[in-house]
Amino acid sequence: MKYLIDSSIQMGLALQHTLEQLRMEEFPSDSPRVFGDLLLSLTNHILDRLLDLASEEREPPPVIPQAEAALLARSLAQIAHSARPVAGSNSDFVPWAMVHPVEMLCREISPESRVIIFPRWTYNYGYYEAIAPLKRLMDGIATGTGEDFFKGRPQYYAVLSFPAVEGYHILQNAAWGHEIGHHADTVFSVSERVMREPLIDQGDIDLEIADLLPAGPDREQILRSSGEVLRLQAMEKAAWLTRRWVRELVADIFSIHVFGPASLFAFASIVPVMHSLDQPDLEYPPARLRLQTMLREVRELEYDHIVDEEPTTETQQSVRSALASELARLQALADQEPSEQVKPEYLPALKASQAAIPLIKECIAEVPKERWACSAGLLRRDVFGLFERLEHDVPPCEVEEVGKLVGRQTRLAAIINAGWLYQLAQRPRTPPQSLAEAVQRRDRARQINGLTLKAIELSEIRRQLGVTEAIRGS
Amino acid sequence: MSDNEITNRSELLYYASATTGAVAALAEYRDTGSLSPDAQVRLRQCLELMQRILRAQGLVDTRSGRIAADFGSIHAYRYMREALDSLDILAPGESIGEAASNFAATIESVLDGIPLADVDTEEDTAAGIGREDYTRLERAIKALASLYHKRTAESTAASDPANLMQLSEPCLLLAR
Repeated sequence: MKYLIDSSIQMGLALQHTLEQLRMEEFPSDSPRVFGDLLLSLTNHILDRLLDLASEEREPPPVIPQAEAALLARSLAQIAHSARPVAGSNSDFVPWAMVHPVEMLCREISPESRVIIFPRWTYNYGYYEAIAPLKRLMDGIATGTGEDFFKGRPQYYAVLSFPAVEGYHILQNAAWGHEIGHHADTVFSVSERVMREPLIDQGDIDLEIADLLPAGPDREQILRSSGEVLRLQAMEKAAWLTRRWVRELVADIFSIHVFGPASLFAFASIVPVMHSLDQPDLEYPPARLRLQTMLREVRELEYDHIVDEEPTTETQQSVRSALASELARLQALADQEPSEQVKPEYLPALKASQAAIPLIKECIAEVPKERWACSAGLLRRDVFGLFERLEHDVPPCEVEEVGKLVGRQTRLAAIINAGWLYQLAQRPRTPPQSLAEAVQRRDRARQINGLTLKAIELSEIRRQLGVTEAIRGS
Repeated sequence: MSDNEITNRSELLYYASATTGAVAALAEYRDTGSLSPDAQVRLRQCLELMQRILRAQGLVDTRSGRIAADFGSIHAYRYMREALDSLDILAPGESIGEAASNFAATIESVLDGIPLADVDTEEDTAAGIGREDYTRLERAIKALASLYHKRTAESTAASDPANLMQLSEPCLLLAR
């Protein structure tokens, strides 16, 4: 046991040193450093406990020192794991313009929200809430003192990641609409409320078991000897999958409230490439179900009507055409016949997740969204002016107004949607016919992304500086 | 994607710690007849675990209709089943949920400071916690603590986000 304590103390000192070094780095916002400081104080506390455990004069003596030492060592490992996003989020890897506006948006969801964004070498976006598991951890290792560590600190740390290979592809990063949707779910507990409802049909569980067992005389024998075990196994799996998939569907629906149709476009450009359209997996429900759900939300929130039936300007015509053709393409994809049968072991959870969708929508309808959500009205008001600026290779950071020297401030969602609609309007409908053409398209997309990211940066700077009506002039 | 890896590990660590602490708390109570504040917290955490198992018993017993996706409870139930199967201390015909209910009652009695009865007669038990019940609780919590430690170690070693599913191989764990 002494060896375990000694090793753990060395590990704790290494972690302490690394966290102290990390706080010297430059970050695009204060949040990673403040979170790193929290991890440092947790590490220091565990180190104290380990030293206490090592002391032979400890009062009262630990009843199960071996187990306590092992738990403390594992808790240090957990804290080291939690430090990963801090290490990845410094200014060398993530630009300020990508972090600050997202953090401001999340603070509108809850003033207690903080954000850490870091790149990961996997082709996916990610989210988790970092504070709740740390609280749970401290409740486990430091009874009665767990709450003290978190007093006066932000209640939520939304840790968001993006694929490192995409770099600063801000339009693709509109997929964060989904991750911010997970954060909104954490704050407003939508999936927790939905999961309390009876969603899983036990008849489906019995069907799944029946499907798994071989036909013949052995069947009855297996059912008699292991039926209960198989049933428990199937229930546990269905509950596990349902929880995961319902969370994804909640985030999908929230994402349409966060970034409007841009969330759908970003989703549609990566998810069908990565996942089967009709086969769920351990993480996600089928991509086609998600697409259908998001499309329905886009239409219900009337994003398909941001342009009048009779556009009056060329820009309006371009926006209308880009939006209508992309929505029609995605609708056709959503309406296609399934290409493969869902595996029987996924059916109970899939049916439960489908049954959850109306409940999710009911819960989301009750959530206050005025301060942070996108809306069809916002896009109808701002997106054409922003689109026009992109047509002239000018960052779409503000909406020009007749007679004003400085344009009108707009919101992040409007800028991202203008970028997406412009990119869609520019993109040819057919695949590239050569590598040179593909590279040319990629370069053009990069240019649009660069302009959009610059616009977000300028808009955020302007918001921080506070441009008054007097400055805007007339 | 919602990264549940960190949450899952914290949950395992929490119950590993709660059950380990409860083992110590029960020993303290047996030897001194009282509980330190720390021991009380651990026993309350253990009581919360028993309540989760009881919720799962409701799910497992309901043979028709729909059930809620209370994964945590079903998971806790399976761990309890595994721990109790390894001990062979279930009374004939007693279900996991009934055992959890009895354990919860004993923990509540300890938290209320009811003394241990010397002999297990009905009269003595009425005046205190029956020795048999108490010993059974101690053994069960010890087995649960050891199981949670094992799972925590496995979880720390695993890096696949789906590790919880890998750990959830109930056929291997339960079929006997």
